[in-house]
Amino acid sequence: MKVKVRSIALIKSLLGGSDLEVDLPEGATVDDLMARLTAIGDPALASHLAPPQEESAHAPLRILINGRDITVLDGRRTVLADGDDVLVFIPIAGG
Amino acid sequence: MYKGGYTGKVLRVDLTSKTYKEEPLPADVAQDFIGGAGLTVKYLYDEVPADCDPLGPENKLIYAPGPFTGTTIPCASRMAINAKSPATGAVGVATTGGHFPVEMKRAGYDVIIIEGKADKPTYLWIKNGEVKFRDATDLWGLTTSDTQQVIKDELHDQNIRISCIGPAGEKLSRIACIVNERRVAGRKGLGAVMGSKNLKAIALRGDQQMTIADKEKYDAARKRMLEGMRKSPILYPEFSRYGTSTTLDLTQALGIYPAKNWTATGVFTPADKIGGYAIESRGMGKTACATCPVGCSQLRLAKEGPYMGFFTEGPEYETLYAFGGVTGVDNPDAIIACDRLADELGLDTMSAGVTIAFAMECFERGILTLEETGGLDLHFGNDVAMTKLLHMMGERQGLGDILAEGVKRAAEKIGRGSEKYAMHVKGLELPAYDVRGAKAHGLNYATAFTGADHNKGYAFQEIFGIPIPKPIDRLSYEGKGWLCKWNQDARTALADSPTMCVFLMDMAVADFMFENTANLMAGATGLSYTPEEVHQVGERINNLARVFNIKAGFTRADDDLPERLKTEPIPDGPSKGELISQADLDAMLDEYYDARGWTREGVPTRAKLEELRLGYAADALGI
Repeated sequence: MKVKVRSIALIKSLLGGSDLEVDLPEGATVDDLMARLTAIGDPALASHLAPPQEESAHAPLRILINGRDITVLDGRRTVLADGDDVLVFIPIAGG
Repeated sequence: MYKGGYTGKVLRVDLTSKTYKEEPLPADVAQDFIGGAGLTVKYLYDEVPADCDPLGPENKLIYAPGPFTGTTIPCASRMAINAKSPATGAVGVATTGGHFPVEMKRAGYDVIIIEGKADKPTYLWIKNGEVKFRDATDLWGLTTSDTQQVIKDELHDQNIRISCIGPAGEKLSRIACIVNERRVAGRKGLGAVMGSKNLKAIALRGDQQMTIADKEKYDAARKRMLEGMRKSPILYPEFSRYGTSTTLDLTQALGIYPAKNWTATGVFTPADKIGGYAIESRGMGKTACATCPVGCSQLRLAKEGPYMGFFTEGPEYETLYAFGGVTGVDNPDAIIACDRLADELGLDTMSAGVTIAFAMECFERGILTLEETGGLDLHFGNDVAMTKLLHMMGERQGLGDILAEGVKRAAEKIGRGSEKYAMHVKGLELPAYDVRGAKAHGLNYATAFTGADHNKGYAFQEIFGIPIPKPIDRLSYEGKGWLCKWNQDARTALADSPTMCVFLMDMAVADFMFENTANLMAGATGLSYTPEEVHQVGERINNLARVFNIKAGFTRADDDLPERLKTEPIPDGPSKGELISQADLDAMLDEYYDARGWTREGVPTRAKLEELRLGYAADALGI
């Protein structure tokens, strides 16, 4: 299956500056996708895309699938589906 | 009784009689309302007839920093200004930062109440407990920067802090703001209230130091807050560098960045041209409010093209929307220029931009003709026309005279079906979040006591994904009534009243936000609160403001959203298909009123008001 990966700012530049389409096996999870991105992007991505060490109000990474935050889905264990739109970025705040 | 944090004094100034007096700040009022917005709502409720003309002499202009202001608590140079709003007819709290709030405390006052109307243009000079009523005839017509500079020169003191209006406030524009330095109490038309009183400015200077009630508790609470700031992965790495501007990149990615008068959310994608990262090249450093180590205010310069040389403190996210997305403009230099121009004229950037976007849609639909626009081609995206029209609004020339009334009244005046393109709630123009894709944020637009005000109950859970008090799905409706109340009460109690910069609330102290305020209050003032009691202060303020609005004639029917948001789905992007139908809005409203302990008509019950020590408000409602 194919998922679309969009990103903002630092993560975007470490992924090459544009949106990606990533091939994954059926049943792949968000964790699997992060591992794939770590493998294909800049080495500096590894520390940003790794799972958080501790619970915090500010996760080090924000991931949305089809506009929904994974915190209201199954977190990094959320299973992806063909055609999903995945948005990945370091948290932003302050409107 | 408070033992620190407060000066303990309220200054009452009567412009009609040119007299003033000092009054004590009652201890029970401080305990129940804390400061800032809370105190201004309390004094407004007690002293201003809810049915008065906002631009008449019965209205009062009330200034209040909070008990944190003037101490060494970081990011506490914030202040509320309040009056009955000429834009909405409701409570009109607006907040500002900069240096004036600290200087007001140093000048000796927790609250300044301005009453009556001067017989000619006047400015107030407040120093050492003395108030002088000075002639401002020569200042009338000056921009806000010039006003501040001339007053400083005239008084031979460059360190005076000044709060003033520009030409728009003088001309009673209902979207006029009040400016101090380059910071702005922007919304609800408070500049027109100042203008209606023939008051050009308030200048003040002081050297009073705030007493700290319990140094040990204060130091411990402050240390914990500073640790929260230091540990934040956002505050210094990102926010200090970009300010609010990168929120555009986020809302655009979420498909909730409103464009072209809310017809093109998710479709028009200017983040690569006007987003926070894109405009970094215009950066000229940054500045900070007093006592703020973060410095989110970005200084930007238009470096080339027809707007070359325009310099501004901003544009903030909301202004990138107002003179960018919602008007269809993708020229960052035009946005920089209009940001500065609006500040100089004394116009709220948000209300001005949304009103211009309305005029653009009317022009594209043939409702406004070239003759009516004075020859301006008002197609979306025409930055030159936008800039000209903004100036015309500030000076109330031609079509600008109608638009200076704000979008609600402009649409009523223009008629011809234009009302459905006027994007406002209760007369306050919509902020920069397409709430069809953020339901609690939308419910806040509908119910905030100041109209469509993102700052009253900002649903940071939906926009930024911060899971406090729990993770929230921005697209679901369930629990949003409860969440909206939670946010409105939290924001009022934690940011607008003590007073503290709201950005710290979700970026630095989210894990312990109520405890943080309780601990700082105990240390700075000696007043004791549980975290739950802090939250309840926000509830009290929201209830009292609601009663004022009910007395002013507001009902459930006013807790509404523009027709477009209820009937037209977001056309494309990650929030495609989303809207808030009337049925969904009604269901959220029912849940919200239930959570608040109000009737389904949106009226607080006697039991709720008495629980909040507001029995007198129940008496006033006759319930």
